[in-house]
Formats: sequence, structure tokens, C-alpha cells
Amino acid sequence: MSLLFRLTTVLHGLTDLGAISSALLSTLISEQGLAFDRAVLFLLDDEKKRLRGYDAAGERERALTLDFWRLLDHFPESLSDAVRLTLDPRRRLRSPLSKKARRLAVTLDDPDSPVAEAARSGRVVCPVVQGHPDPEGIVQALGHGPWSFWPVTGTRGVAGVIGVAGGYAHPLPDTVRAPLVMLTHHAGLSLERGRAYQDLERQIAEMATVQEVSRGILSATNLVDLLLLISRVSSRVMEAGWAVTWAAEGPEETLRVASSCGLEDEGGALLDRLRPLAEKCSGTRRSLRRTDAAADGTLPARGDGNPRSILLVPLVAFDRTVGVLGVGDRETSADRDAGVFREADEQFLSILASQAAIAIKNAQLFEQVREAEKRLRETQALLMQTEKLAALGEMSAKVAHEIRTPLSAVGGFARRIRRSLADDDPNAEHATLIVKEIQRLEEILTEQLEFARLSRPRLAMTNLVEVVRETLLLVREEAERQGVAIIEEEEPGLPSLLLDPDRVKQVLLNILKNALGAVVRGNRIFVRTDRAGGDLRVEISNDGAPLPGEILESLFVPFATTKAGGSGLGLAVAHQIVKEHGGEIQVRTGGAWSVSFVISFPIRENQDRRRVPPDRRKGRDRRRAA
Amino acid sequence: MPSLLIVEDDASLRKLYESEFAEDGYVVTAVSSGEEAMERLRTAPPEAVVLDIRLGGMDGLDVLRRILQDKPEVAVVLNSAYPSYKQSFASWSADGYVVKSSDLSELKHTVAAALARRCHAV
Repeated sequence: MSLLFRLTTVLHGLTDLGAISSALLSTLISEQGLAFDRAVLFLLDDEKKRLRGYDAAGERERALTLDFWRLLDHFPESLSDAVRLTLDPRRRLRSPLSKKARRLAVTLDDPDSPVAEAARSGRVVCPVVQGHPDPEGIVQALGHGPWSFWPVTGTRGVAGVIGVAGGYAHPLPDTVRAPLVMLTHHAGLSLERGRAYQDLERQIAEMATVQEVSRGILSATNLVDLLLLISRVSSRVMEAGWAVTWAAEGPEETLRVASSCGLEDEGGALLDRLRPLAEKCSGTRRSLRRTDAAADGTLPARGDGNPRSILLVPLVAFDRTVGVLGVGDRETSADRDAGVFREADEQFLSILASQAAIAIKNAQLFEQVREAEKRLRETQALLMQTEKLAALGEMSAKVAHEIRTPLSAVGGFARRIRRSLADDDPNAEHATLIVKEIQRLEEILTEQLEFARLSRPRLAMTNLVEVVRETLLLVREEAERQGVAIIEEEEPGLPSLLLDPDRVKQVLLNILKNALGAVVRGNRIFVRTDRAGGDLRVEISNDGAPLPGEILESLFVPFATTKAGGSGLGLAVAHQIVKEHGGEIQVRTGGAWSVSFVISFPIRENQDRRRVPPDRRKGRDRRRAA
Repeated sequence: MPSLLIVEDDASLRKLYESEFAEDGYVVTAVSSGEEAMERLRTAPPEAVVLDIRLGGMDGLDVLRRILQDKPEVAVVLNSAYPSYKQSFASWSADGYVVKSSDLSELKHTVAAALARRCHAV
């Protein structure tokens, strides 16, 4: 009897459900306790539907648990050590009797079950004598009775049922009955506390997982990696056979499989079948839990690769559905219902999903930011180049003007001297040299001045084809002299653009001059004006000598010339002018033509907007957006 | 012999123009500022003027405006190191615009053409 009193104090100090059960059962079977032959503990499950065998003890356990009480006799203050040393938490899992007990289960409303009846009525059900119907298979599993079942009641009603057998004739003597009743009360409270602790620990563990996962998820900014991570993490923490994420895309929020984990060949057929459910989940923004095909017919029949159970939760961030997260085929473990997701799992996955949804939204925003940043950097680089070139232009213009006047005088006098000399005079050749060199200097100055003029555009609605034709007139003579054919092509009906025609002519001229510098007799220059997407393009190609790679790189850099007598500004100027029109020059080598310059002007950016009054323009833009 | 007024502030170039146009048979007078040019136009107006734009004081476009007002019969050819003035509105009313160059053939050609037009007009 002393053991019974000690048990009550010991129970208050225990939080582990296994230890509580061990202490309880050992008191029921030990000689110093109530000395039954057998004892079994049933616990009512979370959803209060079933009583499941949790643990049982018999002859073997009587010896094993004896050490616990002995140890406590000697070291009464060291309960936790005694539990750790003698109430081995794995005992329950290894004990054959306990294993048999764990296979027992009975539904609470089973009318034939004395265990269920004890739990339902809150009264002792006894005796269950030999030969009595044995619906739970207790006698078969745990041995002959007669058994009696005692409801274990906590503050929130019945928590479980204790079954005892052997040792006494029925009805039980009062000396046993009274302490047993007392014991069930204490057991009820302790079991309730133990389960609360167990839930708490599970919740803490889950929260820790969520936190860890969230940290991982929130720090991932690459959308593809993130979606894969979400699938992997979900399947792991949910102990699911597979996991999948669908991403909602476009204005219709169409679901697309974004990542999956644990599915063979990307889960093709299975995911097709799940799509309607995922769409339902996304549309209603409610999670969906299906246990089996038989349950409601929404899932295809079980077998050959069909899911036993699925759990789908919507991914919602900032009141927008970003997708659906799904897991399926829970892996069976000893303490879980086989392959079924439960309400707690649904809640847990929902928490995970809310974090994941925010992370997905973050990653999407981050990608937009990254894109914007990239554009900004490009613009900045362009701006810097523009500014540098403008400063360079200003400076060179100043120098050019200062030099031009004295240069004209020098050259002019040199011509006079040359004219005054007879052709056979040795100085005549020298004077000619001076004249030629000054002419070359003057040509460079002219190019420089064109470069300086860049900052002042004069825009007009311009027919690009006409500009091309006018420019070709300027070079045709030179081309004929060189024996080079110019092939001209144009697409009919091209729209006019708001351009600076003089400068565009300059661009074409510079590139054509460049081409004429690269060809020899018999080569061809091909000029085509057409429309490609939202751009008008002028392609200027030639089949002369191909450009070496290092020249290609510095093609548009000012003063990086390879042409004898070139200023190195021609293509830099061309590039600058085209950039100012919002267009670009691309250089291609190889193929049918050895070098192709493709100049494109975006049609939309080069329209005359002044003709449209501001309010009307707004309306037009809105219509365009729609 | 057509009379020609050269307005050019650079002494060397002025000398070059003087010699070249004189050789071609013009009666050449050369001055170095806008003010001197206006004075000359008042006292002995030439048939044609070769006019630099960037001058020390009064600039070439001012001189051009005054000529158009007071002596519209005089032919004016602007001669500048700046190609950009070619697009300036004021320049359009001149008879020609030649960017400075050591090769005087374009300038000479333009002056001759301007004078020829004047003769036809008269």
C-alpha cells in the first residue's frame, strides 16, 4: 500500500507519457502494489473516436519495474534519474506484451466492447469472465482474465481505460477496489498532463521546424530554388511520400506545376488527376484533406500509384493566391495512423504554406527588383558614356574651331606656294605634302565638329527609306569608283518615325564609309530597310574582309581606329546618335555576309507625341494598357 | 572688276584671302572687325562681302542683318569655322555659307555664284 501512496507523488513529478504509463502499470502488478497478474492501459485518441492500446505489463515487467521503486527507496529525491535509469522509454516498444497491447483498438461506440463501455459510462465494467465475448481480442492477446475495466478520468472527461486481470476473485475486495479507484483518479490527471506535455512538445518541435524552415525559405531569393525547397521541406516535415507546388500564373491565376519532390517522372499522370482538386483549393482558398478513394470518390481508386491520402493547402500572400502546396501518401510510422493526414497536420502545413507564400511573393518581388536594378545599371552606364562623350565633344569642338582658322591660312598659303612653283621644282612635292596633310587635318576637324553637334537633335517625322536613299546617293559614286556593287532592298509601306534625319544620315554614312573601307573590287554592299517586330531596321552588310574579334569589341569606342587616316569617331558617333533615338546598333559577323551592321529604331518610342493633347494621350495610353 | 570686302579677324587668313581674290581679279578691301566693316559699307559699299561670323566685337550675323537692312543689293557669303551656323535662321538670308577650309575653291565659287545671281536679278 505504501507503494500506492508513493505512486501518487511520483506521478505528479512525471511528464513523459511512457514513464507515467510504466509507473502506473508497475504499481498495478508489483507485489508491493496491487499485485494483479496483468494490466493494460488504453488511451482515448485525439478525436475521441477510438481507444487504442498504449501499454501493458505482466510477469516480465513486474521484475523490470521493481528496480525503479528500489532505486527511489534509496534516493527519494532523484526521481528523474530513477526514471531515466530504470523506466527505459524503449521498454514499452520492445516488450512483447506491450506490442500486443498496441495492436488493440476499439471504437468508442462499439456496443459489444467492455473497454468502450467503461469509457462511455465512466463506470467500472466487471467482471469480464472467461467465455465472455472478447471483441477486442484482449483475452487472446493478453491472456485470460477475468478482466475488469476502470475508466481513467481527468479534468476533461475520460482520458483512457485501465484493464486489470488475475490475482483476485471477483468481485474485487474493497482493499483492492478503493485504492484502484484512487489510482485511476491520479492516473487520469497524470495522463492528461502527460498528453498535454506530449502535444506541447510536438508543437514546440513543429514550431521549431517551421521556424527553421521559414528561415531557410525566407532567405532563398531564387524562385526556382525556393519552390523546390518548399516541396522538399514539406514532404520531409509532413512525412509524406511526395510533395508538389503549383504556381498561380497570369491574370487567370492558372496553376502550373512549379516543383515536385518524391514523384517519379515528375508525377505526370498523378498530377493531372490532382489538378481539379488543386484548382478547387486555390479557388476556395481552403485546404483539402482526402484520405482515400473510397472516402468521397474525388480521388481515383487506390492502387497502382494512386495516392492513399492527400493534403492540399492554398499558398496565399498579401491576399493573393500565389499557388497551392500539396503533400500525399503519408509514410506509416508506429505512432501514426497509417498513411492518413490529420487535422493537426493540416494546421501545421497551413503555417508552413503561409510562410512559403510570403517567401514566393518575396522572391517574385526580388526578381522584379533585380530586373529593375539591372536596367538601372545599364541606363547609368549609358548615361555615363553619354556624359563622357558630351564632355569630349564639347572639348573637341572648342579645339577644332580654334584650330580651323589658322589651319585654313596655313593650307591656303601652302597651295599658293605650290602654285608658284614649277612642277619639276623639288619643293613642289613638299608643298603638295603640306597641302594634303592639312586637308587630312581639316577632315578630322569636320568629323570632330559633327561629334560635338550631337547634343542638339532636330526631330521631324521622317521616312527612313528616303533617308537611306539620300545617303546612298552620297556614296554611290565612291562605290562605283572602287568597283563595288550596292544592293538596295526595302520593305514597302514602312511607317514614318520622329527622327533627326541629318543625324541618321550621318549614322548611315559613317557605317557605309566603314563598309567602303573594308571592301575591295568585286565585293558587294547590301542595304536593306525593313520592319522587325516593333522596330524599323536598316541592315548594312558587306562581303569584304571579316572583322577580327578585338576590333569588334572596340568598334564603338571613340578614337579606337584601325583605319589609316580615320579619326576613330565615325562609329562612336553613329552609336551615340542611334542610342539617342532609343535604338541600337548590332554587329554580326560570319554567315552570308562577313560583317552586318543592323541599326534598329523602336517605332513606339519615335512617334510625334506633340500632336496629341495631354488628356487625349492619357486616354490613348489607358486604352493601350487595356 | 567686282569689288569685294573681306571681314576676317585672323590676320593670316585675311592676308591669304586678299592675295587670292586679288589674283582672281577682284578689287579687294580687307578689314578685321564688324565695326570697320560697317564703316566701309557706308563710305564705299562693295558688290560682295566675305563675312566671318566670330569676330572680336560686333559679330558677323549682326553685320549681315545691317547689310540686309541698309544695303540689300550687296551679296554676302558667310565664312566660318563653325558648320553649326549653317542651320542658324540668320544664315539663311545670306547668299552663301562656306565652312573655312584651306581649299578656297568652294569659297571662290560661292562668291562668284552670288555675284552672278545679283547681276541677273538687277
